[in-house]
Amino acid sequence: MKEISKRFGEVQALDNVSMKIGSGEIVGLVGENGAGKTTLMNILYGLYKADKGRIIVNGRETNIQSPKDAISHKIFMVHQHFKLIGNFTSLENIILGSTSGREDFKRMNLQVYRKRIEELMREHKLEIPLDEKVKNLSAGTQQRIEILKALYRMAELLILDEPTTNLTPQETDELLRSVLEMKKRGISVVLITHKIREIVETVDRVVVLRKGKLVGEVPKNEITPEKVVEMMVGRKVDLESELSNIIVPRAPGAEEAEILRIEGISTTGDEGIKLKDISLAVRRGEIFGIAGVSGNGQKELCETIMGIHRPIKGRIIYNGKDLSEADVKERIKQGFRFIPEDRMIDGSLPTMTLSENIILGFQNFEQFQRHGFLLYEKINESARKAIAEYEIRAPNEKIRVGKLSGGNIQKVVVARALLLEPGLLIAYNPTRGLDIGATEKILRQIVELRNSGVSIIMVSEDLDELMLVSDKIAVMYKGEIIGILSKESFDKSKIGLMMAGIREGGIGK
Amino acid sequence: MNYAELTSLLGYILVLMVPYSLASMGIMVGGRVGVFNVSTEGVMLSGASAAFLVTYFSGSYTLGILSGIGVGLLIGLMMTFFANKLKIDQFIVGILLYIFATGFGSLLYKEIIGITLYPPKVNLLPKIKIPLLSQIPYLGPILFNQDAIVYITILIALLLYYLLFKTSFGLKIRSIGENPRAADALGINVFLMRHIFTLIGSALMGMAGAYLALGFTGIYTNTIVSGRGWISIAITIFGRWNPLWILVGALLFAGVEVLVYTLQAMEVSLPYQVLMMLPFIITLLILIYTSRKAEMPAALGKPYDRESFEE
Amino acid sequence: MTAVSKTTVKDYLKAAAYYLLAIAAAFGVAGLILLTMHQDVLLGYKTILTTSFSSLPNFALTIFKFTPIYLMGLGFSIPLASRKFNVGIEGQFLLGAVGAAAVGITLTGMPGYIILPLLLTVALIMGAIWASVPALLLYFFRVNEIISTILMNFISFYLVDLIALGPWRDVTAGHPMTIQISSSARLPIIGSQINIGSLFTIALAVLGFFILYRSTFGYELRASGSNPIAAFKFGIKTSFLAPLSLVLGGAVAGLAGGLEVSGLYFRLVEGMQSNYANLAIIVSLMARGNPVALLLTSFFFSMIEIGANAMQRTMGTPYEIALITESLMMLFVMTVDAIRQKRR
Repeated sequence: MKEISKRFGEVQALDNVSMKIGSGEIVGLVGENGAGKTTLMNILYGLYKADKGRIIVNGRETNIQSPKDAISHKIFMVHQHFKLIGNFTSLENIILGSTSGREDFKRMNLQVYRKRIEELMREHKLEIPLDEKVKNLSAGTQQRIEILKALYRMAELLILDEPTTNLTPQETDELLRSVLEMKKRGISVVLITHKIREIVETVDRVVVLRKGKLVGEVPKNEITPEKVVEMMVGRKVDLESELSNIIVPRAPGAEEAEILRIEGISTTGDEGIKLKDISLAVRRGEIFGIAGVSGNGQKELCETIMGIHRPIKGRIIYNGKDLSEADVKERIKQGFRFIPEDRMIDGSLPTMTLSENIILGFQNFEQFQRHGFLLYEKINESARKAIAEYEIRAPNEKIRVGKLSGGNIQKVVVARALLLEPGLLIAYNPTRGLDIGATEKILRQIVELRNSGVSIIMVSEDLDELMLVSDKIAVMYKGEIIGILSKESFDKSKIGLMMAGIREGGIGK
Repeated sequence: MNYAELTSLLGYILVLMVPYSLASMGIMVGGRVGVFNVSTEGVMLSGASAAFLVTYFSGSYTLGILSGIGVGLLIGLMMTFFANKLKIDQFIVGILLYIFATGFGSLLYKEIIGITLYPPKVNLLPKIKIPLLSQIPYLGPILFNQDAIVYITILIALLLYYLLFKTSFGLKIRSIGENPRAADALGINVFLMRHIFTLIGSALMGMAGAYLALGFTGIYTNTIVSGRGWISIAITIFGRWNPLWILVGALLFAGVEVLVYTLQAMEVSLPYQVLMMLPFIITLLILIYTSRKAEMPAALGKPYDRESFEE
Repeated sequence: MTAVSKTTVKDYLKAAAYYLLAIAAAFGVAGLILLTMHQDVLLGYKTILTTSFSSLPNFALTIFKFTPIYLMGLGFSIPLASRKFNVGIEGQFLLGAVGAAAVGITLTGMPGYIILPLLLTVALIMGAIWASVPALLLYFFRVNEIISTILMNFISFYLVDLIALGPWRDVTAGHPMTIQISSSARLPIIGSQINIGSLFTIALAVLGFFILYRSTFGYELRASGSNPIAAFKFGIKTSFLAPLSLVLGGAVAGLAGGLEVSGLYFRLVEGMQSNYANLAIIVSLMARGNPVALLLTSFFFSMIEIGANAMQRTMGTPYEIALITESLMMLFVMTVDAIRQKRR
């Protein structure tokens, strides 16, 4: 790819980026969120059109207009959000779109397809259930389906976008093993990631992007995580030591008062994952981390604590008060604050103003209304403060939130959660999609909140981040808490095993 | 009621099944690529108006039906331009096109025929007796003594079923209605297919209207569709976006309508207005019934923009 | 600060220019249709744009049309705030008219200050009840409100027919209608021409604006419309608010029906809903559901209606041309929006 440029509105997503991928080579494409890694690969895959630049495949200049063109050049991309049809079976997903011309209109012969896929499954040691609907399968299995889709199309270049996001550390190892396996068969692989540590062992070369620009390349023998991160961010970063400096240590044993107590919560599972008999206690000034492969009930647990879903049994006690019957409004009044999973889907009101977004959940608070009518002056003032404090890039507080960039919307969502003294903060991936600067800022704020005595429940897909700030970590698997570790016993591989459902000292249910 | 009356009544159910099933299949094919086109009622009216006028002046049923389809295509072109190209809310476009098409159909007739004391008439589509089969006692005269469009409608349903559920082309089409992003990433031409199937859907709606004028009433009035377009949306949901189930739903509603006419003719003690409300009340009940297990294409009603932000 | 306000003024002017272009384009298409019909296009435009202001009776007539269009538009706008499409304003209007006629016919010999508020309240409640059927279906079964409210319209047509031909039937009339309501149940006329019902529109515009854009209730309603999932997760009872907004919309549409009976027809007449519902939907969409902007769009469309009626009388142009132009106008306005958004 040569001199690729791409603009989205006012954002220069890519600026004159060139990169090469050799045959049978594994290239790590790294950079912070928003650096343009995915955009670059989406251009190679024909999903986006470059404003400028050329693509050369096997020595020939190629015009890739659509994924169809890319696939015909044996290029295949597995996106971070899998492109699978939930209501179709694995088999249907794999063959979907692989036919053309007259074959399209003939009666489908599923047996023939099945044979070929079964061969591929054996050859690459990728096992999947072929007749199950995809929506019922785990993230790991779905990823294998995506890879089989590529192999079925005889891909020679496979692009994997943030492939480890939804995997346990052990599943990640397994994935990287099959990547090496593909390399042996001459398939080139591009691994897009912002977690450099995971891929150091596997890649032959690393290409670093920052703010849409190519920063440099590092050959295998020169890669060190520190060096690459510095290239990604543009300065020396040591999140670890910076944050651990401000975390006020707790003497072991000297436990603070209990703020939140959850006793034996179970749900019907209508809202997603069924929670099974969950009990936990969160103390004053404590960050209670929740780890797990995404989709194991973390979201449902957070939402049940917020009062969004009603459990079929169990109690929620906050500051000694039984809030099991309280609705979301009442819990917010009591001091519950929420950073939901997805700022777009459940965190923001796109057609409403930044001011109106900031008070979502507080619209009935004394500060913001009188006799049922909103006090817009005060609301706007709070919003202006938040813009300044969180460095939200917005012209004013009256802009519609849908017009902001993803990172800025995330800041709005976080600012809302911290607007009026929280008592208990439930933070789901609070740093999702933010660059290191903003991540650091938000983590720092959360830690400071903890130091000031607020209790925090934090869910994160980034295990390193979670281990860094949490006082305790509970691991969830299939709607259960499979174990709770305290800070002194944090251990990545142990947590990883628990994330796969293996209990401490034995096999789980 | 004697035997002849009964067979003609049951034959009527098949006749009325046609507009319901054509319109519903029109909604269905759009829905399968994610486009919910609610302009049905208006498109049917325009189709009826155009088809009646063309057949009235040319005497040709083929031209009449084709012009109904043509008007459907025309409004479908607007639907696909506003909803798929400009990505304006499908429901708003659908409602506006319903209003537009209602005005258009009525204008066409008024401008060409004007207001007359007795509305001009065309003969209904001729019935085609299928040799041998129409001799089967009881069933024969009902099933095999119908006009061509009745047979064609059933053929269209079978064809659509085969295409959508038995071929890999159908798999592609359905994947667009389920998850256009995924379909696009596999090289399936989402935009083209959305355009094509929105057009086909609208054409089927126009054909449904054409048949109302040529196969059922023989005249055109502004009340010729009278809610059948909206009921067809309910039939589509009831029929789980599947052509064969849509045929079943269409038969059901045709049956209800024939029942209403029969009861009216029998001078039951209920006022006729109450009888006329029946199909609509039953539709509401059916919507309740299907609400619990409604299976819809997952991306129904959502515009697709390849370069829009995704999270 | 001044720089900011300057750019916004410029933006507004730019937007206004684009919208004028969209409206002009719709008129352009209408002109083309008139041409194919061998009509005098320029005379057509003149008739459309000036008839309302050509005489006091014509202006009064415009206001008579404006009142139901505005109120039904408001009946569409309130649910629109929560992204619900109340296409059933037509039926709700008719039920309001039925209620008003029932009160006006049966309660005789009562003074106006008792019977009038009663009549309008009953109209309001009837509209709300009619809308509560789709609202309940939405609340309990998540039945799509577009389909259910439309179906309720068809049921209401036959209901009106039943009543207009029932015991209150005016046997002297050739068209289905009831006998007249008592004289004390009729709205007073101000200045010999303008019906007092039109004053309701101004009052409701202000009230509607404050409720939708300044109250916590309106906030919650708009939040449910903007992103129902986010609103729900932050404690807003979206599954209750959306149906409630339908009921409120129904009440306003019902009031419109009551005002028509009490202020214009003095009875229930089949077909009295004219095509107000379609117009109301367009004017509401064009005003983006804003009750104050709705005053403007409703008046504009009433003007077109009066002009189109005049064209039908004097030039023999079928009225339907207005309906076509109006729907195209909204489609073009949205086209302008879509194109401007893409450019950004």
